Amino acid sequence: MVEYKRFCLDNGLRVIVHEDANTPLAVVNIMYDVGARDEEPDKTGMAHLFEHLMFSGSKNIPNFDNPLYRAGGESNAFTGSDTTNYYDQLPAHNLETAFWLESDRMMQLDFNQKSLEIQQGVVCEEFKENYINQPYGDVWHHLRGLCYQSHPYQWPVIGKSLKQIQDVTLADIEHFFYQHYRPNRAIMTVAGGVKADEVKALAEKWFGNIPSGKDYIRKLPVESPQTTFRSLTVEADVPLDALYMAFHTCNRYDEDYPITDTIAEILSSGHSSRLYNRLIKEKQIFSSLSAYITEDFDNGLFFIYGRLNKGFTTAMAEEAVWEELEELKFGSLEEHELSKVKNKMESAIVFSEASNSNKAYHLSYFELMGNVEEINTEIHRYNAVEAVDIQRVAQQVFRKENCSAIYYHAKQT
Amino acid sequence: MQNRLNRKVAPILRPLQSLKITPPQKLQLDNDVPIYLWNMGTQEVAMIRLVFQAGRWHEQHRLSAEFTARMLREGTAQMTGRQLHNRIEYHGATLKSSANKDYASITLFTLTKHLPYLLPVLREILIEANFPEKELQTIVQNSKQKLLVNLEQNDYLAQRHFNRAIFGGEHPYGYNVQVSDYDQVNTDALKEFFQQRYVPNNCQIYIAGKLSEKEIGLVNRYLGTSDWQKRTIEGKPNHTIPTYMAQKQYISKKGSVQAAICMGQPLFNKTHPDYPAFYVLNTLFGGFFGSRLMSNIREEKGLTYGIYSSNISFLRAGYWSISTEVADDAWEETMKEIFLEMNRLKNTLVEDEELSLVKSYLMGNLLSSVDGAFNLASALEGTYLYGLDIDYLYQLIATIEQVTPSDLQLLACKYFDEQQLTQVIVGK
Repeated sequence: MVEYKRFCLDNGLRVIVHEDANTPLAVVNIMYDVGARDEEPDKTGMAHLFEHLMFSGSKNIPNFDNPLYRAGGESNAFTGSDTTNYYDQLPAHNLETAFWLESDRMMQLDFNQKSLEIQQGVVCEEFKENYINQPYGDVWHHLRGLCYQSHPYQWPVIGKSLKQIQDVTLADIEHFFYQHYRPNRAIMTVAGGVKADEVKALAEKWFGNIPSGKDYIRKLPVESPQTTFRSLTVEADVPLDALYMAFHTCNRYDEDYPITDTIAEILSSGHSSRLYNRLIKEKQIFSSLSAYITEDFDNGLFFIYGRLNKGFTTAMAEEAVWEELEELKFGSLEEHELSKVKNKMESAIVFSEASNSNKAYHLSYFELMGNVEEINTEIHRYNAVEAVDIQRVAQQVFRKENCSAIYYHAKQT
Repeated sequence: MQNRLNRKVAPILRPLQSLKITPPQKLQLDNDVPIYLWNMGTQEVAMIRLVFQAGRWHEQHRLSAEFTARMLREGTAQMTGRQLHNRIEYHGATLKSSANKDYASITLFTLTKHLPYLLPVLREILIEANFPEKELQTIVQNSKQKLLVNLEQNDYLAQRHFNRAIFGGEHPYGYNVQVSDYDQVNTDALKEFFQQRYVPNNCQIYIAGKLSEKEIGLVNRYLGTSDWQKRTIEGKPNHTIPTYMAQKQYISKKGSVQAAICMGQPLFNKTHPDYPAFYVLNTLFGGFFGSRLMSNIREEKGLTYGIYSSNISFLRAGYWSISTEVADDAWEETMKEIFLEMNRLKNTLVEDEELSLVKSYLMGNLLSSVDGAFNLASALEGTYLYGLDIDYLYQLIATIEQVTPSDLQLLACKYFDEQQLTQVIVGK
């Protein structure tokens, strides 16, 4: 059970406080309601590049990190398809330093051509390190492109290409900032050895006079339902063939989300899971195999992917996966498989609540989704999942015409 | 009021009050296994971690340490691997077992309330792990495949060549697993290693979380049992590191769009008197996001996503290394800049302002590394395994507070030597 206090400044900044007297540290987590889905198709990678620039100095403070180090703290951030999240951890007695830094970069970034060029270089190297100079690194570009024809989830957060990252201009950055980085688009959670009154006073002092932005009305293209199976064969210099399958599925708000997540757990969580035992251990078709659902705010994907052992083709592997999916759709589910997922969720929540950075992130996350109290109640939705729900959702999701597959083949040399 | 807020002026900082590190309660099981216990926190969770001197150092055959540790979860006389995993996972717990250069460990994370169901599993593993052949073949096969994929990665390749250059290709700290080594792994060797090494007189246990007397009693009941027998540990392995010669290697990997650089030299481990001050020097040089290397190569030139240096400790040796991946046409420039940064520290005193920033960062970092039971257990384990104790951490803190720019310059002159660096580059 996570306790919290919540208030909102006049400019629309929402603030949540979680007091924990057991730690001398504090975490400040600011989540902005913007991600890669808000990008233009010809300017992909913007949200993530922008995140890098948030560390390159603001109007009154030339360097973000150094003052935080001096306070005994450190900081990082990550960008997703739906949100961009920044967090600082520091000794609680220096909390105000984080407010000073975060409020100045929310007030106005230092839009600077040189910083932009350097971070374009850095992000291009990040792109190469993770998506080009990496076996199977390009697969998510292929797979997302195959699954989505109109929705922006068709590109990965890093962006479609190096070129689009290199082409971003300072004007684009400035526009993005005023469109998205306003207090009414942000949620700040402060957790740890802090007091709510103190946080409220500091929030008003440092964030109170940042002007609100215009309302942003998100009008994203809606993906039409997929009606035929799609596939793509990729040949590359990799040692093993691999199979990637993706199915359209519900979004994070949907009542079926906990059910779909439970399906992923039953299939591939741990060495007692179905896929591990049947396809890795018994049939020895795969050397690794995973299943998970993307936690997307718009309708997301259910991925199943793995690398093959020698002697098996991607067609054989695909057929074996389908057998397991059919089993889930029409076969029986053992009671303990469901209880296992519920116990795991309970455990994950209790462990997560031992960490203030986790709590701070999740408080912001559920507030952004519309109801912060879900941090304490979501578990009930998992506990309510029954075998019939699993069958219903499995039958709905695991249809051939709802599937896209990548056959990733090792080049014959 | 708000109109007069001067955003150019930083809030006043307060230095850290004296940092207190909570020591463990020291207990002993009935079979004399030492327990280090941090019983604290508000969440009803527990970590139980058994550590054995059963790393690569103690192997008679390659990969014995790694596969003995991994096979512990794959079956006992009473339970198949699947039943064992099911028992753990059904309770929402995780059980990991692995080996590194010097030690092997078995770690259980669970809600405290499930300990009565899971401690018997630990006991059974310690007494009756049975290394089933079929399970071994599966994990050997999967590891082999994983190696094939890793060998396609430039940074992995660079690290392998580097290890061999530092410790020699036969030494347990330096050997690189080949695909053919996997074919030699067999259950007899693993059973032998298990019987020799996974004994109470070769074990220490770290416990962190919130436990009652009852659960601590259960730990003794299941892990302090006399069924788990002591045994004289035969043979004291001894391995000699060949005389070090700095090597320069350029390895060509076609199609690369980035070059991986790994360079460094043998250096002391954390038991050496210079270690704490060198820790500060290394942090400033390349040990954190605000370091000189990161500022130069990433934040000024945009040539990499990241560059780090570190002083790595093993029980009986150590090394210092710098690694990064950079644009393929920029590795020579990067190397030049790395040498330049080394020389700058040898030739010019660090400004007080920069040193005080690094000190504050390190103190904050230490504060969080001893925050909460799990972090404490991990921090103190890192001292006990080296024959050190909590005083070592206080010594480290004192050094961070006291070290001066001229101390750092002396250290840089003593240890930074371009000629002594092994340089491995894997690129186009």
